[in-house]
Amino acid sequence: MLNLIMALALSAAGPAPAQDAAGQAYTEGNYFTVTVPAGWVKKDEGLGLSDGEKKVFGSEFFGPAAGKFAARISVHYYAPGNLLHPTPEKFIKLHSKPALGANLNGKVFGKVAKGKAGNYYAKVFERKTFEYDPPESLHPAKIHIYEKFHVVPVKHGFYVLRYYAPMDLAKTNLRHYEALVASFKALTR
Amino acid sequence: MIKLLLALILTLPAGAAFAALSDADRTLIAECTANIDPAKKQLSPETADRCIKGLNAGSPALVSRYAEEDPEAAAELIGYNNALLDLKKTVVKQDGVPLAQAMARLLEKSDCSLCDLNLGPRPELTFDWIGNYASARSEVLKKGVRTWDALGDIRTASLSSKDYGKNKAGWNSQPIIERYFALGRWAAAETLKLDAASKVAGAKINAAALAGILREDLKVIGDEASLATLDGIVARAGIKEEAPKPTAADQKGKDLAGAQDRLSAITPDGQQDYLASAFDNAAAGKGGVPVPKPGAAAVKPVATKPGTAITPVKMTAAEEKALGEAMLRMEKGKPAGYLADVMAQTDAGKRTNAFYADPKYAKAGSNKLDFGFVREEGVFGYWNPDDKQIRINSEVAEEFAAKRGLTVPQMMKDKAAMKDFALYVSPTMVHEAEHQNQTARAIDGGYDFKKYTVGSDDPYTRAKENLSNKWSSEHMIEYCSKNGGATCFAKFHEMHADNADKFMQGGLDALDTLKAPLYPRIDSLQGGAAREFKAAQSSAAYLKTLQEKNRTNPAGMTAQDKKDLADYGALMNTRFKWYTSIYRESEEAEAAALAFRKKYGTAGLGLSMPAL
Repeated sequence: MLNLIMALALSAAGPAPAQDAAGQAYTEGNYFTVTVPAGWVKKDEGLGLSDGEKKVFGSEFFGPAAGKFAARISVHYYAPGNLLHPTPEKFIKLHSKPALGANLNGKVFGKVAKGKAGNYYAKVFERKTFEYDPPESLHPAKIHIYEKFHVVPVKHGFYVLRYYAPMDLAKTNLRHYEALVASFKALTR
Repeated sequence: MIKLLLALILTLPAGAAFAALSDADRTLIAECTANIDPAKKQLSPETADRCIKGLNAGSPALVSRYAEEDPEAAAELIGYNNALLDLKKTVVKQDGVPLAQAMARLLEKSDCSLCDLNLGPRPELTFDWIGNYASARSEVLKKGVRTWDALGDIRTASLSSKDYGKNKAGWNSQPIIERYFALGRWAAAETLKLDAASKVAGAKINAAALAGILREDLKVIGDEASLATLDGIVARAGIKEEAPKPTAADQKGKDLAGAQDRLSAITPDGQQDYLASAFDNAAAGKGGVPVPKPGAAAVKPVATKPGTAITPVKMTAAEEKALGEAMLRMEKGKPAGYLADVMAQTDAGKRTNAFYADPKYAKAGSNKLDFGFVREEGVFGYWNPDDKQIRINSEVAEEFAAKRGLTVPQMMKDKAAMKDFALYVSPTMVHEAEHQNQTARAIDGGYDFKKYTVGSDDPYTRAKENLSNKWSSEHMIEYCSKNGGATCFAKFHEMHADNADKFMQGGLDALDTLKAPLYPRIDSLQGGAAREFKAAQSSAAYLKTLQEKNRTNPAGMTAQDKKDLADYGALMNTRFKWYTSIYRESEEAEAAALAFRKKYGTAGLGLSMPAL
């Protein structure tokens, strides 16, 4: 179950959380803590299978938006036996290269490099992808999206920190993602 | 008076059919009831999220069991808690015109659930709530709905002048989209004034900030004539135009260029989407983020048959008809044609073919195949629930043929080209046929309650779109796993192939998350539930009254009372059945999608992922 360390933040009937420039600490169950950038808001709703059923636990935070698209940061813990990605290697393979095996639309994939998330070793990569708008149109516009990933393997499962932003918002908000990455602490290892 | 046709089938089960509510059930119900009581001033989206999950738990779902005891209260619990979730999601995820449209959809229609919670119809009534639950979005929302205090000094000073006579109260009493149009009219008038001033000999105009604001307001409503005038002024007077001064909202994030915020040709109900061509302005690398070095080579489009591309040649109506029949028609009770043949190669496609051949649906008249081509500029294809038609835009065929140096009639003589074209449009057919299938399932399952007002249907929410995307993605992935692997995806429109790509990366949930912002006009399941249960409140209240009378004074029940008890029971039952069915279906669909993805993501031909 989700657990907010800062009691005021998002609590029922509570006043607005006091957000300082450094953001607010956030804890996801027994899985991780991060400092969420000031002004970023957690997504509440979800359909489909529960986190427990998928064995994937985490949260997504929304930052500034530009029209239809908001900058987002997500942090997830993939437990052993999860239904999404059996290993960190497969997650990386699926996201650092075209998932279908062919680059069909000019996406750009960076190389997978070594890095850190908090005090943990991570595999880091970035990519430029697209959204097509309007959907189901003959000549949709390609909205350019920038993404960056930190994949942190631990003994039991792995973590993924992900940044997603329309290109015009990407640079401005990248520092927020980097700050969150630096604050990351794994609680399950 | 609502006519009920299937009352006997849909009537709520007799009293003892469902298990009694436990203490834990009643505790949750009490918590969820308190959450939607405006007097208690909670209205928490987090509590609402917990309530929605809890009310859908169990079999039958808790909400179904509670509805048997108190249909009015159950409808309110589901409707209002979903409305709170929907409001937060709307405010968190969007900005600018899309946010304005979404807020208008939530607050300004007659079935506004949030209004009952004192959170509408004017968006200003949500500001305190946003301050509590999504404070970081307060300024974004205020600017998005063009509230008076977020217009900025230049606008409000001018609008307050005797020329316009506006004030805060009057301004904020306007519907949201009308505010944009009012600003557009103001900007057009001010542009004319500025134009006249700029033509006075020797005039020096210091209107850099004003020009930027005028441009913003004119762009939104697509006033090209005034924009041209403004361009002339700026050039003539040598104005170094300033972008509108950033508000607090702007400081939190930079808007995309104005093209993404256009209201041109959009009604206050948001009945039309933006022109696709207006959007492609986010050039690569524009944001200054380091561009990753290529780590994977791009695949060139699949080579077409020899033939130099030509300008597309428009089909005649007869040619549209002939192409439609060649692609897909019914023969001996089964789909036939190039498209049927392509679909027969995958489970998703077989499912589509089987749907049109299903005697169960044929008996209900819900699976009639009406496929064809029609000119519908810009779109790819669609399902028209009113006319029960699936149509592909004629331009799709004309452009496909032209790339091969062919007209459509020439293409129809080329079997290979026709096969490729069938493959190209097959994701759309699978996608749109799923929509027809959804309506057929609703009729068959007895939750097509819209039949009472608009013909057999259940509410259109994004949950339906997710299912359609699931099937079309699975169709492409399975087809390519059997027909050439990765490069095969180049035979599809890149937009469709991208859906399959995202589906493989993260499953159905990820695909929905990524695609949801593209559908600002479509209710989420939460939004749809809020709307439908609000619309049913008077029916629920009447049903509760009749149930009470039936319990306490059965002898006093008239024949009409008894009929209404059955009819209104059926009416409410269809809604609860619809809601719990769709909620559950979303869970089942995700599980099935993950199983499919596991199969094709690890062992499928051409899609296997080598170990690192």
